[in-house]
Amino acid sequence: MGSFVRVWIFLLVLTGVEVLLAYVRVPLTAMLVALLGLSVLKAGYIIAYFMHMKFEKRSLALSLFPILIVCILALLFLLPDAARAQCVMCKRTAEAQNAERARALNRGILVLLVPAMVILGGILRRAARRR
Amino acid sequence: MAAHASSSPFHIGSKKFGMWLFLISDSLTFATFLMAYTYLRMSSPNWPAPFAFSPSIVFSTFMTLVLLTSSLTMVLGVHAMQKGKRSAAVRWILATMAGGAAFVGLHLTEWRHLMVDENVLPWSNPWNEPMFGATFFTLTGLHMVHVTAGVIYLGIVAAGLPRGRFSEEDVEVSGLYWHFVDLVWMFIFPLVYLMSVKG
Repeated sequence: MGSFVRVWIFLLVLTGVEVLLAYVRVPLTAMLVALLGLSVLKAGYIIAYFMHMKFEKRSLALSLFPILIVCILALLFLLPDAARAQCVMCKRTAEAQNAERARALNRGILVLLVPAMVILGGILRRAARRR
Repeated sequence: MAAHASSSPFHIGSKKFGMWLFLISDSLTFATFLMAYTYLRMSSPNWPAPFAFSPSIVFSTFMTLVLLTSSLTMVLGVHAMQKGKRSAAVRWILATMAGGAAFVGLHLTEWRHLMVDENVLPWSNPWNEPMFGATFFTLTGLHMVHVTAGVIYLGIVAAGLPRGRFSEEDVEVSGLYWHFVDLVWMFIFPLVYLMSVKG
């Protein structure tokens, strides 16, 4: 019973920190990163203790959460499109420059794709090995 | 713990597993709504930040506190039920319902303030950015529907418990739903309210 109260107090403290960040007006991007981090932490504590997940068989969490996380991350693929709408100028400027630079830009995008794919492949490999 | 749990590969009852599956799919519903909100916000240069720190943020912080506390009373109810204390479990569940009802009442007050005092409606607002109202009211409205459904669900459980109906697994499953509603608010509150402080 005491452990539940401790988790509850911890969640209240984290909420307090979030509200404090809003009060002191942290710049928007830093604010978003901090709030998302704190929210995921809070969600983790709610799932682990209040929803009892920490005391279940590990296979339950492993069956439920990877799907959810992959689907939510897949939704993020929409965001670059939204950001481009905000920065029409950048895109126009990039397009107006010569073909060589455009090719370099495209190659840069492909290079940035590599780490993401390596990480995803690594996770899949590990999952396949462990059955 | 629960009946037949040992025959499940996850060592939990099928009701509990069913609730977990529902919660995973329901979190995707909320994730898409939050993503739609974020997408529109990023692509609209005039997206409003309509919440003054006082009263709106202070008010919604209080709402968050109420919901978090109702999660604590719920977990204590499940705990009491596992110890075989049915009447104590009923009392904790009633406290949880009171918290949920208070949350809905406070949220409706907040909506009324936005609609009547600030003229922010689901289809129009002073900043000429109608998608703000559309996404804001859909997202928070869907959450409010979940809280209301949760209060009714817990009401059915609380009404059945003294008459010997429902097992400890049933109470735990209703608790899972309730904590999920709390968890979703832990994302809506920062991303919609705290990210939109006026000024």
